[in-house]
Amino acid sequence: MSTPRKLEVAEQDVLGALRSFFESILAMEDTGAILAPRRLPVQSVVMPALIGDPKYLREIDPLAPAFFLNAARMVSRLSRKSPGQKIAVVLRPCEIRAFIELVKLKQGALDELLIIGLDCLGAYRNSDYRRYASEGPDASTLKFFFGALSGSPSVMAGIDLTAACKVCEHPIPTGADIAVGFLGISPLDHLLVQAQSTKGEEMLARLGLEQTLVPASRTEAIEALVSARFHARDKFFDQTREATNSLEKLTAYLAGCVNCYNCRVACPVCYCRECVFTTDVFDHEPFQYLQWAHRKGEIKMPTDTVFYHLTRLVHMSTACVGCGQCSNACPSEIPLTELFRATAVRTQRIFDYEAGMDPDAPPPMTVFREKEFVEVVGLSE
Amino acid sequence: MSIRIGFYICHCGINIAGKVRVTEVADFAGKLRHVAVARDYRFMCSDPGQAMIEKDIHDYGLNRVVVASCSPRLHEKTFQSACRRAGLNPYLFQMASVREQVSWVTPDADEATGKAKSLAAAAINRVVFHHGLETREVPVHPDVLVVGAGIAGMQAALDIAAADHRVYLVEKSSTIGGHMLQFDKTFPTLDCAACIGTPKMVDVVQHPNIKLLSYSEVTELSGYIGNYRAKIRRLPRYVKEGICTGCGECAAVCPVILPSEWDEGLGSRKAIYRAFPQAVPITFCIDKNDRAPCVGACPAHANVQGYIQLIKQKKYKEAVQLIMERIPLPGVLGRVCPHPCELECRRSEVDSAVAIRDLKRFAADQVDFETLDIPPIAENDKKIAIIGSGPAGLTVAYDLRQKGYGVHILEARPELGGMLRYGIPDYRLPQAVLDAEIGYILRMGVTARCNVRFGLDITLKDLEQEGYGAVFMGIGAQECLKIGIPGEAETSGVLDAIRFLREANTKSETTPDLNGKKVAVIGGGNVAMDAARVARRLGASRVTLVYRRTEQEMPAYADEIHEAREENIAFQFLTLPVRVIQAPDGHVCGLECVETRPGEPDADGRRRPEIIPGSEMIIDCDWIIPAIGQSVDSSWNDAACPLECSPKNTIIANPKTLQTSIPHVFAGGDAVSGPATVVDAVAAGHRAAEAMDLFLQGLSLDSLQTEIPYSGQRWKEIPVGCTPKARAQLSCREPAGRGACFAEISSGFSEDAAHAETERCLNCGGCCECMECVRACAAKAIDHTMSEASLEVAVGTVILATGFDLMDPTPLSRFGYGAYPNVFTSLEFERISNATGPTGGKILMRDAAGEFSKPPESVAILHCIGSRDVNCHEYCSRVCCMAALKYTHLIKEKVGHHTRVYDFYIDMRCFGEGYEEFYRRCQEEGTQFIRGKVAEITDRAIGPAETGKLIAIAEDTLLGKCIRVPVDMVVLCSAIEARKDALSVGRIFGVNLGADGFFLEEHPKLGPLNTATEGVFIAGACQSPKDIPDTVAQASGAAAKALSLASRGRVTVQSIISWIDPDICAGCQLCIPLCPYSAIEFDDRRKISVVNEAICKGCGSCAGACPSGAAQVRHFRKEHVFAEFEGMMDAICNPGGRK
Amino acid sequence: MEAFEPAIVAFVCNWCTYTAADLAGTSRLSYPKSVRLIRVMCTGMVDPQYVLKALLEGADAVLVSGCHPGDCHYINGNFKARRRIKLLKEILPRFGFEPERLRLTWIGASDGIQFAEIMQKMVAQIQAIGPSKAGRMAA
Repeated sequence: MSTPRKLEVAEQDVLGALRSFFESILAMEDTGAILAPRRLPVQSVVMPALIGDPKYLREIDPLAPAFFLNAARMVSRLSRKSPGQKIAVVLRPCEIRAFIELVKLKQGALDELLIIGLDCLGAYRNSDYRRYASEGPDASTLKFFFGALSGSPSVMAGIDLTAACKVCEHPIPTGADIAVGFLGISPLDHLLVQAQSTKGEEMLARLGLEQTLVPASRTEAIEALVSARFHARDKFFDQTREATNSLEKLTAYLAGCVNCYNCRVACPVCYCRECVFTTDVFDHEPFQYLQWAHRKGEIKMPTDTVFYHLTRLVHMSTACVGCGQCSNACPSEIPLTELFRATAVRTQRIFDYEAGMDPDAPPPMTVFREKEFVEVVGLSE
Repeated sequence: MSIRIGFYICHCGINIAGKVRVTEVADFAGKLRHVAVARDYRFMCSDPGQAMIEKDIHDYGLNRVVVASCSPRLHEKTFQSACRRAGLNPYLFQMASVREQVSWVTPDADEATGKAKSLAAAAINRVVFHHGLETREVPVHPDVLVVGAGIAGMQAALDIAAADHRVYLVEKSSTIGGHMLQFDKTFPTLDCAACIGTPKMVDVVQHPNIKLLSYSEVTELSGYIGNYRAKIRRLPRYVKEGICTGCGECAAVCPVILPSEWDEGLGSRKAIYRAFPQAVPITFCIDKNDRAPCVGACPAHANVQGYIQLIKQKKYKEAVQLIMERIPLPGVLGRVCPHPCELECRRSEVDSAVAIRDLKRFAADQVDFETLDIPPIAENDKKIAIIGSGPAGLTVAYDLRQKGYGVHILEARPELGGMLRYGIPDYRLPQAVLDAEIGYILRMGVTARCNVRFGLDITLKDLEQEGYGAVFMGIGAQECLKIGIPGEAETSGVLDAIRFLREANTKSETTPDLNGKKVAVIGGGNVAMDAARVARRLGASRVTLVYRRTEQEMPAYADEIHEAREENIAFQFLTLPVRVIQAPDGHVCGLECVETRPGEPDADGRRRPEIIPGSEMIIDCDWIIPAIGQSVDSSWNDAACPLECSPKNTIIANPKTLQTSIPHVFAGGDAVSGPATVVDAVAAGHRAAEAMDLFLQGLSLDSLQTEIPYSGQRWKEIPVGCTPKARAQLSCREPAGRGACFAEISSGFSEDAAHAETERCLNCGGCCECMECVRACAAKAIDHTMSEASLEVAVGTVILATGFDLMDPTPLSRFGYGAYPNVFTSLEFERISNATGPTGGKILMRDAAGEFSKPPESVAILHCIGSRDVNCHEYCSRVCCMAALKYTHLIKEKVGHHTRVYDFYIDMRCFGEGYEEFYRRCQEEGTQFIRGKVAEITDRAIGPAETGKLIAIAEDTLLGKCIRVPVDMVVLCSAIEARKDALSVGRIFGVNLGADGFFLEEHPKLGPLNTATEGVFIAGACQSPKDIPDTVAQASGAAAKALSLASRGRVTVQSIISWIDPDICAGCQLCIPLCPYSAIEFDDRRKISVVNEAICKGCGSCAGACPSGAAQVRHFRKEHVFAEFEGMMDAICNPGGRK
Repeated sequence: MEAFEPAIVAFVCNWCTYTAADLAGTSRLSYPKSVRLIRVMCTGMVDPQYVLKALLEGADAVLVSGCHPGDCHYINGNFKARRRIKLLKEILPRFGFEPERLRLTWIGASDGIQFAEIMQKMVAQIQAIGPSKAGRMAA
């Protein structure tokens, strides 16, 4: 980790400081474009936008508590084949982790990217954000920003962080080339910019920002936040397990599923071009439905919903980064994030793997050893 | 086109119909969806059964077929071809196993019928989703690999070769032939195994189509049916095939005798050997292990095992010459070497180390160095100078002179030899010995000038000017250290040990007169010992050795201390001198000392002595001889020769090259290492000589290898029967007789003692590399530097004919094998009876001395040793009964009909052609056949008839009583078992093992020659115990299998392989690292993974991992497995059928 | 109540366990009819979905069985299977599937007796824990 640098904040305009910082990066001749969360005109919706012309940078809003989709999927599109130019991408920590998983799955490449990560204060559900942001863009963002920094992210009655964000243990952008920090420092004065890779170091060196030190207050603030999150997390794991610890309960939990597959579309690491559940294998003949009806007396339509979610747990839980988009995307508001996180934490542990952290750690199902897991063999245990 | 399924359930006689109500199942199936016709029939696999399917396919327009019968592993192909004949793709067929999985394992008829229905429904539901697959053909490489060249391997190879196909015949041992060639006669025809076996061996080696790779092993097999690649490791024979004429001169001269595997250890062979006279190839073979530990332990790496073996053969000259390859002064080292070699000698695991040093001396004493011939020397024009003529200098001189350099020695003292001459007293090393060996070196053309002190009389400059290209400094460590106590310097009568010994050794008149004097020697090393013992010999009335530590910590060798004690040397341990006491006349009159006690350990781990206060005392003495260590005399070292030296004045030289700070000056011995042993100095000499040779040729010294690595520990097993023998002791002159005598104390070995001692060497290294064979070989076929080679061959098919091992009956201790010398295994008996065996074909028994001397008067032959025995092998070894009969006949025939032969059998199994007749013949020959298994073989006699005999205790189950049969000899028909390495070999070729440990065939009846791996066949006893006729028949069978593939040149392979749907594949490449055959490549343009169909074997590792199901195994796709399961569950939930 | 008749589906590899089943048959070693085999070429091709499908569609237990370590006809398919089973065994019990309902065993081609014994033992275990709810669930 290199020596941190200061990003001065002129007359307390945090967003402004960030915007000009990104401008200076886009200004670099070898930066082709920059992908950043941009507030769309009229509507209060924040979406990632690939910006080539600096003037549009004035519209970006990386601090808004809006998380309409996990941009890792977009970065994958931009990097799966060589873009031919360097692209700077501004991502949340969970987006970075998701993208690293995608890189391992050959759905993207880091080579021509400069990943800029920001401390993450979390986000609201889409519907909540629309409601919240209706009262003027920058103002609402900053209101949330300072509220969250002071420990109360719920700055409007009845609106709070998503379940995923409430229990997120990774508010810091691990894996970013350049990390922008404001937790535990006074962002009205300056932000902390730190290179976490040689790529990032090169860039910062060229920007010539003044060097500084990481104040103890930052480390403390992060530790406090993370431990609070861990505490919340474990509580919510217990609740989830309690709510799903039998097949009846699980079925009830997923009862609302309408097979829309939004969750897998929203899931940043669910990378298949075509989900097995949309292939012929699950295109059952009418006769088959009748067979089931005969066999079981009745079948809920659509079928295969529990099967589908269990399959996703098997396929993806080892890669789950807990971004919460599955819940965010579910029309029936099934708390899928809870289900995934509670399972993932264990499936990742048994293979001694943490999704999105170490780019060199192979996905658990791609490796095996002659002497391992002997306990699963046999009729005992 | 709508799906129309034909369903057929087989009665299999009553095998299925006996439990499963087949008509009911057929009716049930008939009601299932898509089923156009459902029938049951007595034997579906019969022609009419198959014809019925074909007819229905036409009449009913069937496009799917399901047969419920036996296991698909049995008849799937049968029915698939029926479909094919009727124009239906064989993969539109599915089979349900209702015999192996239902009727044979389900006792209850209702349950069986129910399960049969569910399996039928499963198959029917599955077949709906089947797709026709095109059958794939791949070329078959025409060559065949045959592994194992016993009778099976040879037969298979010959059959294939006869069909004009090339065969690679790989045999692990040095000769082909296998067990059969160890046999004497073969039952039941009694033709001699060699007579029918050796012609085959000759045919094999002479056949142009057979490439024989003996003494070789297959290490890896890759590829697939028709297209295998085999990696073969060829072990070095050290004798060149084709050049060796098999004359055997080498074996005649080889000194190393080892037990002969071919004779089952009953006889012996040389380290260079040939299994038996008719061995093929006739090429001899050298049995090498890693170099013996003694060779590694010797600092000079003298070939210890080699010269010991030569001494055994009384080849003293050769022995000495072998020693002198590494040690120029054999007689000297044979006396004064501390013999580190003996510490490593493995003989000490049996009793005690071989007396290596004394044997070296013995050898040296047997040759006359004045007449010992000088090796031819190719002169060159370079010359070198050597400063100092100690062991290091002499070694350098010796080595470089042999390389043709002009060598000139400069010695400061009047005579050559350094410490050897001036430091070691004559009673340990007579001057004559030293003179003789130095004389030899001078005879080689080494010149020397004595009384020339380097630095004073001659300088490095002078030497350069005189044209010496390199200089070796071997000036030793000749300065004695001072004790540093008051009075030491100024008092007369204090004389340092080095000078004292020098004067005594040279009998100089300045030698002090010690007659009747009291002498104190200070120190605990060998020099102190020598000084004390010399003082005694000079007439000292009392000699006290003062040492500040305990006896255990004395650096001197134990035998030195022992002999010193014998000579009444007094030892004063834990005593530290503090002051020399001077008499008024200025001469020593005593030594003041204090007592010490062992304190804290110091750097070298020895406990530092601490003074005990108030323990002062005085040792009354007239002379004090300090011997507390030496240092290098550095007076020569000046500006003229600015050699870098250590603070201790030792010369600093590169440890690898011994090059000093002046490039052309090299140094070694004590001058570099500080005081060390003679053999260390010799070792240093070799290293310096090697480096100087390179230097003088202007080559880089980097090419110099630091140390020959003698790390290997693959040594010969210590023979089980190795009995302890006392180590030969040197005869020492009686202490009384020593007195003032400087004559050598020990007289060395007598010839007998020496030979007895050489017999104790265990030949750890196998071949001892004495090179006698090289000298003896007229054809120049022997190359000890040969190394392992490997080659790779491409073949279409493989035949495994690796044979069997005979079970070692030792663990079944009740039969006394190993305990009683005249209990033999069947194979041992074959060798005893074999004309090429240890007894030359006479059936003899061992006498007390273990020699085969007289024939037995009575023999017991025991069947089923380890076979038909739940504690060993449950199976019958099949050949023992007939072999036993053969033995009874051979004994009667060879030893005489009066010989009493008892054959203990459980059941006589004479199933083969002419076997029963042979049994009858042997009965008529008067052998007593006793039905009953012997319980015990013992030598505990009860009554005179049994004394000195082996008693077979058994129950005669026909008489129903216990019997005791005294005999001279017992033959155990030991079980035939799978090769010890069957598991690892099986894994190389992808062949599983059965419960009995033998290679598992594809099917016991229908595929006895096939294995689970296509294109790999098995023949002979590696599959199960077999007699020769069956083995040969199988071999020809396997050959035919291989040929049928080779001659057609093409083979249809697995259509059941993986396929990746390009429309679904996301290119994540999860599957690529999982594929065990690297059959999946990534198409970078389309960003998808693609299966290479030629390599894919269809294991489905990719399918199991692919989340989207893009990767799938044809015929085992998700929809197939799901459908099979759904059909099964439907049937379980409503057994009455749908609707 | 008398022991119910479980439905046990065994995905077995063609080279080892299926062969062992044949051997059990030829040796006339009886075992409960509740066990029904589905032949696969190698346990390495057993997609976790097979297991999920079977357990959700009413099988009371699933057995996956292949070659002993080192004996796999395809070198190491059984090791890949073992990892996938490990993953399933981490997930399924969280949702109320008892560990007994998913088993992995190595049964070699010559282990006819072991095959019969393991089938008997497994059936007994399942009878002890009772039927799976999934069969009657309208999932």
